[in-house]
Amino acid sequence: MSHNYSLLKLFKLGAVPALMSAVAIRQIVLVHTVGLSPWHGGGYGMFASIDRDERRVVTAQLIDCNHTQDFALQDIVADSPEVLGPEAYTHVSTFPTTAQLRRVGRRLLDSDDQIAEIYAANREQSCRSELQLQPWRLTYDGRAIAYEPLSAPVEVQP
Amino acid sequence: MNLIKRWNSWLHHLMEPPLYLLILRLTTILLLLHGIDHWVWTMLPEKLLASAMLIYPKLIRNRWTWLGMSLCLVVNNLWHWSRLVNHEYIYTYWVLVCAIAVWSSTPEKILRWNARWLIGICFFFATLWKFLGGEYLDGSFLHLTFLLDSRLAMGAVLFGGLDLATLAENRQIFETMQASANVFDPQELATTPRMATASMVLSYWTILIEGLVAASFLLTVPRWLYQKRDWLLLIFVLTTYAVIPVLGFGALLMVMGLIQAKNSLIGRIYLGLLIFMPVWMPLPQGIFWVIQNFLFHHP
Repeated sequence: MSHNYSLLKLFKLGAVPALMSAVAIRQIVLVHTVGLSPWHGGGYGMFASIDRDERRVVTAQLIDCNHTQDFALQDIVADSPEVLGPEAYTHVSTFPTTAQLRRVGRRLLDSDDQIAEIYAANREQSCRSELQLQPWRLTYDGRAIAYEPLSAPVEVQP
Repeated sequence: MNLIKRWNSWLHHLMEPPLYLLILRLTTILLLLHGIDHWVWTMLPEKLLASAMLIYPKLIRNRWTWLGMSLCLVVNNLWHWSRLVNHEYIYTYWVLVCAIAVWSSTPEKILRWNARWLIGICFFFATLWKFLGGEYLDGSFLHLTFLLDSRLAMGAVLFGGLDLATLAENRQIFETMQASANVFDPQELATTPRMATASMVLSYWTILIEGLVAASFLLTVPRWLYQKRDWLLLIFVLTTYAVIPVLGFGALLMVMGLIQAKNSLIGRIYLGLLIFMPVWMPLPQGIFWVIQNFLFHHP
């Protein structure tokens, strides 16, 4: 009876602070392992880091036998939200895991007219091509802003 | 003088026991209002429930209502976990605390204890992050934020001696760089040595005040620090949110501060600041914009 009472008391007084601490520790781990933005995820890293999701960039490059072509994902979001919506772009910028980047890359290869067309033409000519996605974060040295990669480029196949 | 007396007695009246009912009511109002500036449809159930609780006050005491509200917020939190900002998480935690409190025989004690711990943990991790990132210790985070974030334009002008046109140019440089995904060419921003110095000073002030709030809410020794916890939190709220207004977080801090306040006077200060928050929080920014746009406006 008294054991149950103690557990109940512990739950009432400690459950929510323990949950809050666990979520915050998880956020710190995710930021340092898979590049989650410090501004999100419940770790109280807002207003502590320049690396805000809204300031990140995800680049897309289609590399084939002859040349490399860059695609601005922001343009695809603006022009073809049915291919890549603002929410999906924000999510992949905030939490750019390899799986998330591959998912976005496959969607581009399947649905974006320009990328899919070039990819299909290359394949017809037996030219191996691949799409690479890479997340970047903003930095500032007191004088200039610059981007640095959050992780190595992720190669995407359809 | 008479007005102050009447104001004081009105606050006294609002804070008549049981205080936990006032906390539940205030929390319900905040739940109705928070997040309406970035509305998503998954918020609809919690807004409807909060409206019902305000229309039918009996629901405020109802255990199942708070359980339902907890469920709404937890689902919303899980659904949008990577998009939500800090204080939206704290809303969820605080509603869970309210739910536990109304199911217990000592609701006020549960609210008081958890409020102190939630504030302490929040400030502990906020302080820890300022060391983890490293961009706080060299002042670069605040420096860049002053240069690019339009919400901090007042600070950039007053502390850094920059003008609004320069700040607009800086924002334009960044926006062009980001829109073109030009990741290989660094871009120089216009700033002043005064801005760099002010950013450094303000960075260390923020670490100091947040660290002191964390320590005073989490530790009961040294006793003098623990006894001063409310004043430290009030100093943080007044000095931070007057420069950069974050209404949702500030309001919840006042509600949690109120229930765990050391005495009735401090409780009344928390409540008064909460009631007048929509006035005092945007006031410095409002005065600044009026001065900038009407007194220094060159056609």
